[in-house]
Amino acid sequence: MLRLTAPLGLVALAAVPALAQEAPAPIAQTNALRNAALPADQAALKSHIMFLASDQMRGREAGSAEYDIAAQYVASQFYEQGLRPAGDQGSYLQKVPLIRYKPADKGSMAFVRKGGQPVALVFGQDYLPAGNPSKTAYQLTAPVVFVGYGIAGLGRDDYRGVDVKGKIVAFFGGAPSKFPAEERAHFGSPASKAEIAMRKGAVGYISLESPRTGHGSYPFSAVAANWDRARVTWAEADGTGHLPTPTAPALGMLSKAAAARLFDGARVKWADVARLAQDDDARFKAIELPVTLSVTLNTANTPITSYNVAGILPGSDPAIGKEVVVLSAHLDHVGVGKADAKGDTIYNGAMDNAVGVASLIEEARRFGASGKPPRRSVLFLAVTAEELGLVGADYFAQNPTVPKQSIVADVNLDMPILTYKFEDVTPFGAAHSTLGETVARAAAQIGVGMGGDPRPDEAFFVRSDHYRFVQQGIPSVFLWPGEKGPGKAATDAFLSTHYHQPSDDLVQQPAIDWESGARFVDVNYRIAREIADADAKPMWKKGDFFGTLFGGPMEK
Amino acid sequence: MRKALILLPLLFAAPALAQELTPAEAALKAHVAFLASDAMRGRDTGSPELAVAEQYAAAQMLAVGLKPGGPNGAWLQPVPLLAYKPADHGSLVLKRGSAETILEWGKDYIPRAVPSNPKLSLSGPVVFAGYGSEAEYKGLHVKGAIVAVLRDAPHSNASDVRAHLGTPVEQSRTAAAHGAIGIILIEGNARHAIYSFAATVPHAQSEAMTWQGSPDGGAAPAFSYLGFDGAARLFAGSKIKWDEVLAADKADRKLPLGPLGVTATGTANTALRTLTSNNVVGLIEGTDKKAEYVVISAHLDHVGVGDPDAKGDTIYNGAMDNAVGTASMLEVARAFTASGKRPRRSVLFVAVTAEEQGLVGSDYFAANPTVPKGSIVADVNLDMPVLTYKFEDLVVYGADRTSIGPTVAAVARAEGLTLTPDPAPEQASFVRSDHYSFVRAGIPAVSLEPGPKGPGKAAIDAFGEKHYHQPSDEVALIDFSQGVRFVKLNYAIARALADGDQRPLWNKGDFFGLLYNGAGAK
Repeated sequence: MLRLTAPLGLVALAAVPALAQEAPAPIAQTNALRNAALPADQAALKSHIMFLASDQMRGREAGSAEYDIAAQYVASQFYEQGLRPAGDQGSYLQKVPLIRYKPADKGSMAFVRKGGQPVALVFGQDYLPAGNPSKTAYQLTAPVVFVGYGIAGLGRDDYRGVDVKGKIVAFFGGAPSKFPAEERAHFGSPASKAEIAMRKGAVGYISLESPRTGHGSYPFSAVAANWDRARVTWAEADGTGHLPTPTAPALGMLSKAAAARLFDGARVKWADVARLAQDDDARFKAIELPVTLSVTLNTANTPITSYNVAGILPGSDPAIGKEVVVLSAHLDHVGVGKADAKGDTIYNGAMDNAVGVASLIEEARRFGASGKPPRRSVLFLAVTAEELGLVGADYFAQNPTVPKQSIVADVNLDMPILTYKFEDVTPFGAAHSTLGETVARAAAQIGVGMGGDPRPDEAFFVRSDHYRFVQQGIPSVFLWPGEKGPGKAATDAFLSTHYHQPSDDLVQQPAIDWESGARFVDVNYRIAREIADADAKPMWKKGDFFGTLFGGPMEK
Repeated sequence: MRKALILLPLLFAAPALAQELTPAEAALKAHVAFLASDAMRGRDTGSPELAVAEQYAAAQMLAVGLKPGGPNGAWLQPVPLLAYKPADHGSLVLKRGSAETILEWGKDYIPRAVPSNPKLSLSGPVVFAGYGSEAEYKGLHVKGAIVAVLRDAPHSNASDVRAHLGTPVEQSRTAAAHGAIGIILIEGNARHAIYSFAATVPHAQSEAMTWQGSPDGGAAPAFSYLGFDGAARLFAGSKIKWDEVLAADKADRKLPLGPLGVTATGTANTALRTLTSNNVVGLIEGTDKKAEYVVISAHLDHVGVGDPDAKGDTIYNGAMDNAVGTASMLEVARAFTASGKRPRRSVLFVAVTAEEQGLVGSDYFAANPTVPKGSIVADVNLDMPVLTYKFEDLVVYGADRTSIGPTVAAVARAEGLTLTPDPAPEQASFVRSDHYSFVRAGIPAVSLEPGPKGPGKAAIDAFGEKHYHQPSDEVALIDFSQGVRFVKLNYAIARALADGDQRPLWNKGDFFGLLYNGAGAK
């Protein structure tokens, strides 16, 4: 599960709670508990996590030797489960050319008023530069237009009344709290705003520090502390870094003080804008600022090779057998890092997401054991670089190893919390497509209900790999064990204690409940089976926001 | 399979996992494809990749339904390894009367590392004790002396006994028992033919391993190794002529024995390094005889990354050696659990480490078993079965020494296979794989390989010449339909050993059985 894109990470480094204080049990006693006998299906599930989340796998960071070993492991497991290779050139691996990029230096920014002299802005005080992986030596000079939140959609158009063609747009981070949670997460992301800017004809965008922070709007000082942190994208065929908006790249960020200087002499005063911005649902008037901004960005690109792992069960139906249902789970985690209170530096990623990959493999086993091939083809996909920004999934969704038009759905498995007997399931994205009904039926079959999104503020819908399929118009869903009964407390405990911590390992406390793991596999298998065997392929709900935005197949 | 010979590299291309196999074949191949993938970098002892392979073996043991069989209910048995190599060129000086001869490193001698005494310095009169076998010491006075011995054993012995007695460890043990303080080893004709002193010299400073606290080495360490040139200088001026020794060795005659009238002063400095690796142990509990254990063993390690072959490949994948043995062991375990019928005796599955370093992991396990000492009744070892052809017979090292032999023969017969005696005794295979570690603990033990009948000889020779300990030992070499036959055989053998009324026993009077106080030998 990807961190929220905060420069600091919004999940606090929680201290390990009191259970660490207890006297250690004798090792034989501990081992007896850890290694208690399990039914075959649970032992199979556990075995994958025992391997993938072992300390020896050192947190499976994309690009690491251990990640490559994990990819071999998944390939061999896919092979054993009877899947056919669906990667490059008859192998199970799809090579993913990653690029790690960051600002190579401080670059420069300067503005000039009509007839005036250029005024240089000061790095770290006025501006922070962005990296541009698609053009590592980049220069732009253009007029600047202020466009509020930079959002156009859901009955709102922050671009109203201005022409931004050939101009730089400047906007605040975040999105109005009136928006539904998933839409808010979508519009709050810089990538969505960049896409809007590009569509409107802008040639670049710059973020403005807002007087109001939170929900995707960060203080300048917080961003400055990590201004040159590396980001990851994938490489285009020519070796340049993929940028979804190459004609409207990110330029960087301006502090409140710098913004005020740009507004100087404009028809709207910065002080008024700043006052208005205190309101989360503010509507701003778009205006052209009386300045031209010159920006120089130098970017350091470092190539990294990683792999997605893909295996396919060919569909049996002559009519719909070529349609492909994708089941995805990310194989990477965050590697080795800062020591926790116990001195542990290995971020094992048992729940995040060895469990998801294990479930993927065990679903493949269920398909094989059923003795009945699916009507549609089912593609099992373990992706890389999720933790670096859903990059492996994006690469696959844009460069699939099957015809793009043939992909009819993605069911994603990411960090299901399996420490309790779940009584319902939480399907992220279910409301947007007919997949919601599929999930409800599968849940009913295993005797549980389906809840809504209990944590809209976490924006989980845009924080895992299925979102990259959504962006290609493909109906997608992913499930967590729900928050009914013991679920909420268990979910809270995991997120506050183990999420992206070295303690997310095989023997975490509370313990992983393998029976819940088997039930989780069961419900996901039923979902995949129904999608694969149904007469009709999944569709977006009529008029659905995401279905419309990304041009997916829609119910009439 | 532990290295004895230096062989030539050669080319081989490895295609991907693709062809249609049966589920049993695919299960076997999946293990090999993973363990022998380039990402696993040849699973060298001490490498992070072997540590990953240990995790894989443990996870697979869990998946096939085993319980942890290591210490304290864990899957892993830590093996405290000690790596050692000569720290420098050492020295060897001979004094006859007042004449002093300084031997030349690399031409006359090389020092041998002695982990139990890393700053070894010895001086004493030299007595030539032939092959250093027990009988040859009769009438020789070697107390306080350095004995010189050929690195071999009397040729009248059975090939496996000869291989055993010809190991420096055994030669040291015998010499120490007679009061000698050290050993100078000399290459004999047999060793000269397959791995000459000159060929040894480039590897003189390579590392070997033992485990910390191993009783090996002892009171009469073999601290120096002489080639033919060095031997000629050692014997020069003595009553016993080197030429006569070589001639007698060649003619299988008794060697002339006695003091050489020379005093040797030598040093051997040893560089030591400790490291940890693990054996991986899984268990199926037996029923009425569950306090007795049958061990199925296979080494998980290989030789890592090394010199590039002609194609520039540097990764020694070790698919046949011994990913396929490990894979077979795991599939034998699966066959046990899938049968739904628990064995009468308990069965331990042990993936051992550091085989390529000198059978160290298995030796550690045999000396420090995770079950009560004396409760292990048999070992069936799987090491580098050449699975490239439709085999018609089996070679079973150790078969004619214990009751395992007839058990194997009966199983083989049921599958239409015959047993063939060791076709290449000069390779000393009996002492070159992990079952030997169990033999030395008095446990009836065998290693099984597909045999030379029909297409076998050509296939085995081809593997040995082209792929053994080469980067080309890759998964694509393996015919998995033969792998499944091999698994089936080993399962049937293990099943018979586990379910038999009588535990496996040494043959009465067997050399190894007697030597190591094995059950049934007396």
